[in-house]
This record gives sequence, C-alpha cells and structure tokens, in this order.
Amino acid sequence: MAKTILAVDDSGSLRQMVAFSLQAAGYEVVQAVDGNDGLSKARSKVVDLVLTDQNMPGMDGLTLIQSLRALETYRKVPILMLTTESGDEMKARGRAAGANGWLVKPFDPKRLIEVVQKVIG
Amino acid sequence: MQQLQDMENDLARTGSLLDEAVNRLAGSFTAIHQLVNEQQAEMDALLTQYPLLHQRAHAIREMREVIGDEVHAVVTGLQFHDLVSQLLAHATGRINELRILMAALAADGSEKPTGHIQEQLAALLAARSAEPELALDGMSEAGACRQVRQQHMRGGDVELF
Repeated sequence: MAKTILAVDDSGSLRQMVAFSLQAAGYEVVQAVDGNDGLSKARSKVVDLVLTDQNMPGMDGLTLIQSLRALETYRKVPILMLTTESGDEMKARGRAAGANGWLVKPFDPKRLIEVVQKVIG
Repeated sequence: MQQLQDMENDLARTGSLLDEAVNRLAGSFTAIHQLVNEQQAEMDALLTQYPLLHQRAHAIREMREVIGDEVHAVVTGLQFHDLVSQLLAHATGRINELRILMAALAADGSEKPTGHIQEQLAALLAARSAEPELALDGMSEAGACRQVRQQHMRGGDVELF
C-alpha cells in the first residue's frame, strides 16, 4: 500500500509541484491550503509524513507542527519543513517545535524524493 | 497617494498575470508529461514485441534519462511562482506602510507635518535604507514581510535533524 504524505502550503503551484514529484515516485499526496486545513486533514486521516511550509495565513508551519506533536497519533510521524526560510534561528525553532528536517525552496524533485525515501521508505 | 495606488494596482496586475501564466504552464507541462509517459510505455511494449529493436533500446533509455532530468528542472523552475508571489506581497505590504505614514502626515491638514511625524518618517526611511531586510513589527507579526533571499532557481539545501 502506498505511503501517504500530507503537503501543506498556501501556494497552489507549489503544492502541485510537490504532488507531481511525490506521486511520480509512488506516494499518495493529500494537499492542504494552510495550517488549519493541514491540521484538520491530519486529524481525519493519519499520514506517514507531513511536509509543511512555514509562512501561511492563519496557522503557520511551526504552530502546525506543535499542534500535530500534541496529538498522540502524530508523536512519531516525521514532519519536514519546506520553506523559503533558511536561517539557523528558524531551523532551531523548527527543530524545537518538533520538525525532523528542513528543506529550502525551491526543492529539487530528485532530492525531495531521496529525503522522503530516507525518512519513510 | 495616487502614485502609490497605481503602484499597488500594477503589482496586483502583475500577480494576476503571473498566476494565470503559471497555471497554464503547469497544466500544459502536466499534460505533456502524462503523454510522454504513455509514449514511453508504448515504446517498452514495442521493444518487447520486436526484439530486433533492442539495438535502439540504449538510445531510448538515454532519451528517457534526459527527459527525466528536464522534467525535474521544470518542476524546480515552476516554483518561481511561489517565490515571486511572496516578493510581490512584500512589495504591496511596503506600499501600504508608506500609505499609512503618508496618511498620518496628511491628517495634519494643510499645515506642514509636525516635527515628530517628520522625524518618524525620516528615521523609518533611514532604517529601511540601511537594512532592507528589517521588517516592521506590524508586518512581521502578520507574517507578510518574511524575506525571500533566493537569488537563483537552484534546488535549496536539505537538512535532516
């Protein structure tokens, strides 16, 4: 059974490219348009990996990660940030919030797939 | 003030055109990629059915790899839309900041701006000239002024904690 990835980003084109890349590698992709939508979708179906942007209207990525880590079902699910932010301070905040990795946009599809395969197989 | 409004309108129009262009590009790219995949499947079937064509198999495999690399380059490139949209939002936010400041100056009526407001404006403009990446408190709280520092469309860094 294909593993499922939740892709959270307020940019439709970015979500489309993430979905395109990961579906080509055999993953199922659920898309969410912002942090609140992401949290709602994560609650309705437990996924194998969460890939989230940071800067989104409403609930941002760090808050989404903290909210997910507060759920029993998401204590161990890998969460990766995919964001334009590249500073060490932000990365440290992401790690403290519970992120397992940090990818800086734009992503290279080959590298994205490699990282995802490394994290969830 | 009218000039600011015109600038804001231009930015909004730029954003709309960008959205439309990228949606068309992404749609066509997805369709082409699907057709290429189907074409490759047909070639695989032909190679199986006609073993003599195996001499062409190497060339076909090489083409498949090149297509794969180009597809990845397109996917990386199309992400410019997200980055540019953020930059446009930042520019619009800064125009809004300027409008608020100018409205505050104008609110004093036909008299010259007070020294206090003039000092505030001068300090603000000086600060932004020295450190353009410094976001104003109000905007940073709204999350609208995060800097997009990317200068090129190469794949970004990856770090697993």
